[in-house]
Amino acid sequence: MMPYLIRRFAQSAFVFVGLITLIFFLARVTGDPTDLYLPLIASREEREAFRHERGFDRPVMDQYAEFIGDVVRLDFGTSLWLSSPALEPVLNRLPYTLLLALLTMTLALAGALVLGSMSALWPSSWIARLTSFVSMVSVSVADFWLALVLIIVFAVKLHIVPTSGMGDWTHLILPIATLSLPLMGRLSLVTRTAVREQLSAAYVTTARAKGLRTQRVLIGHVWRNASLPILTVTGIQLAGLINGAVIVETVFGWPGVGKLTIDAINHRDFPIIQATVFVVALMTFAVNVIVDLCYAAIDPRIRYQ
Amino acid sequence: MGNDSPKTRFSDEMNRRTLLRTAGLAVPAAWLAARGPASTMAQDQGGQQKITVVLPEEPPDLDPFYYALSHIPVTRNIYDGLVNRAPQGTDLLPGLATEWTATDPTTWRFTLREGVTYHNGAAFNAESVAFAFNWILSHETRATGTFVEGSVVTVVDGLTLDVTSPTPDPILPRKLFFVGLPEPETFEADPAAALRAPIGTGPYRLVDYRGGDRITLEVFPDYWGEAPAITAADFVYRTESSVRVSMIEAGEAQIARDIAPQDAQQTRAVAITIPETPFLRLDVPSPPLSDLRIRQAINSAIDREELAKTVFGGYAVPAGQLVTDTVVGYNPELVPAPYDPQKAQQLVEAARADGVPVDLELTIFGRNGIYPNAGEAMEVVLIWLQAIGLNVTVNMMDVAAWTDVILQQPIPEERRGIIQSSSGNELGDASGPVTGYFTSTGPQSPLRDPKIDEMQAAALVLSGEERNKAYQDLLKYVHDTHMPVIPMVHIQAIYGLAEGVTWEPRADNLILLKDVQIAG
Repeated sequence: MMPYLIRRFAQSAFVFVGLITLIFFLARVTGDPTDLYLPLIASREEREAFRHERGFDRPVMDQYAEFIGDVVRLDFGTSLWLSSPALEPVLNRLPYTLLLALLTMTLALAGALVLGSMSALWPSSWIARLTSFVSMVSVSVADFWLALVLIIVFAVKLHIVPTSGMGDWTHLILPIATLSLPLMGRLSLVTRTAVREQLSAAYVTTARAKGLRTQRVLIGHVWRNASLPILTVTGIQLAGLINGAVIVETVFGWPGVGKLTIDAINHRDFPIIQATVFVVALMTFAVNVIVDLCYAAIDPRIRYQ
Repeated sequence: MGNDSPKTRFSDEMNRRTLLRTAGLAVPAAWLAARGPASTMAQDQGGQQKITVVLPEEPPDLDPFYYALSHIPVTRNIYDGLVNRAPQGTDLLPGLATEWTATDPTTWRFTLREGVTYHNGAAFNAESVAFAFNWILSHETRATGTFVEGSVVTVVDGLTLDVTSPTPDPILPRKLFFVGLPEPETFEADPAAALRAPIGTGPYRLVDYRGGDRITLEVFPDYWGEAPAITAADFVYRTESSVRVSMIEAGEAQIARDIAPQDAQQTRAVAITIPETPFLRLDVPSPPLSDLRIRQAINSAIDREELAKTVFGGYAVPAGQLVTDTVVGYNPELVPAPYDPQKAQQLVEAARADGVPVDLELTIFGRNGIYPNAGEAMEVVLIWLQAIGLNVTVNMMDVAAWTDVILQQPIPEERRGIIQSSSGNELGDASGPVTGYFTSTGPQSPLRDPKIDEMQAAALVLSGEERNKAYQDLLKYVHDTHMPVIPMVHIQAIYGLAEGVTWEPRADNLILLKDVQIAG
């Protein structure tokens, strides 16, 4: 196990250097930050002076070398836009995104396991038809549209939840509903397929022949075997959620990493963009390692050396 | 425009009940409803009136020297300037200065208000103003450019201050409207911290600044002016206009800034024409745009009435120049060109007959979100220009890439761009757009005409009616001989107001809490 983890970390170090390099150069391909920071009517002299002061006029390779050195010390520079060290706002926003991501994933996964399993067990029941209908609709619906409809119905018309923003737990309801609905749809389709496949396996017939009740068969045997594909999809989706649910965070005014990233891009704030990408890559890496470890825990045939 | 009449309220209630019953959600919903709506309703408890204002974006700091739409709705409640403005125009009114006069062409004398204190109890006087002005003169701030370089600030006595500039600066008081005055001692001790813990002389002081969430202000009991009705306010931020409207409708906010025209029917909306004028910047050096007739044809091909009505939802008025009628230099002769596609077509054909390459492809470089429905605006412009026989395509860009296009100098001849832009004129003086868009050194100027440079240099030092006349002549000259820009409309700022809130929107986009009244 340990050698595996060490190897994973070593590999990811290369990926991180590559990623940081890519981001550094891509950010500069989109243009000169001076133009965005200064008002449009600023004179050419003012632009030159600003460029010089901030070091944007130095050779790109010099800027890059200095940048890599700073990143090693976790110093992503000072944000021009927020006038604070770049990592600070990212770390401040991360808990909000994590809260949203983990609650969403828990809810979606629980719902999907129940709905997907029921659809697999009773494929011609009304619940199976309803599940596949709701899944198809929720996967196809655009999240910003869903978010706005939920706001109008549940906040403006029914007054039962706040429209947006932060505060008590009621503020979480609409963002989580918006995020988890499509996720639940996707996961319940995966669950249904995986469970149905297992249900036709010989060991299920054996278990049933022993006289085990459906719940026991499902929980003790089928779910464990069906969980690998579900875990794979969950891992990918969770990584996506942790990257910041950009649209949902923007619509609901939720101060997470996704909204920060978009705002930083709009302000052409290199340091924050770079810090965000770094932190998000780290989180994605963590999710992947956890998923790998879960594989091994679930399936005894999988061993990492 | 309000739809909050007793009747609709009642039907809302009915809706709620029937819907809940059918959905079988009545119990949990009733429990949630009993908790009351979340936190931010307008409250009136024992003379305390708190409101919530929802803005499109969060100010990243509270810089007294930064006059930007992201900042001023909040900062101008905390800081005062030497001068204020009339709500509907650009006329100056006394602020922390009660009087200002030019004692000679290069000296302005300001007489300051007596008995003003900062939020921390420090006294306001000529020294405090001198501190702020000297800070701007000697540091890089977002107000750099307020003073002519080399200006000298002299404290005459406790409440009198002179600003002397090396060359005449006739619009200094006008520019000082943009400068808030921070408390010197705390500002000097830690300027970076002062941006997050502002101390001014304004009617409200900062209580809480929670990044990403809200800024809370409360009334300052020792404010020099009349005590405001609103005792506290939260500023929150939502990017989507429709969400801002929803907050008004749900009772979570009382004032919403910058409502999109299509959302304005959904709420009680108030609007005011602001000095913001969408226009098209033409790449004058590129054929066929280099031919004046083609530029005039484009000018006549735009149906401004229709644009104002459909794209801006009626919240705009046709424009014949880059400045509005409250701006010094506005020329009443430059009326919006009537929509005349036949005339436009004839101009194009006349140019073609003279060998102008009118079939070369022109590109509209649009910028997403530069004003509401910016993409739709460029789509109709495309149709109008194609209708008069020009070969045009649209390229909608994001701000970063677009900025590179509009600032590129010299303008590449093969670009043939029609660039979507918008001219703001917070200063209320035509010198800004003239310098930026028309002079040879202007960052966005497609022109190299020494006559314009001369006229501009001469106009800059004038004041009063002479200045007005000089800029009127300049705008007319540019319009008649060059037409490098095609003004489209003057847009209006739209605000959403909750029922019972009385407040007049201002041409300068400030949201002064002291002017807000709540019924009941």
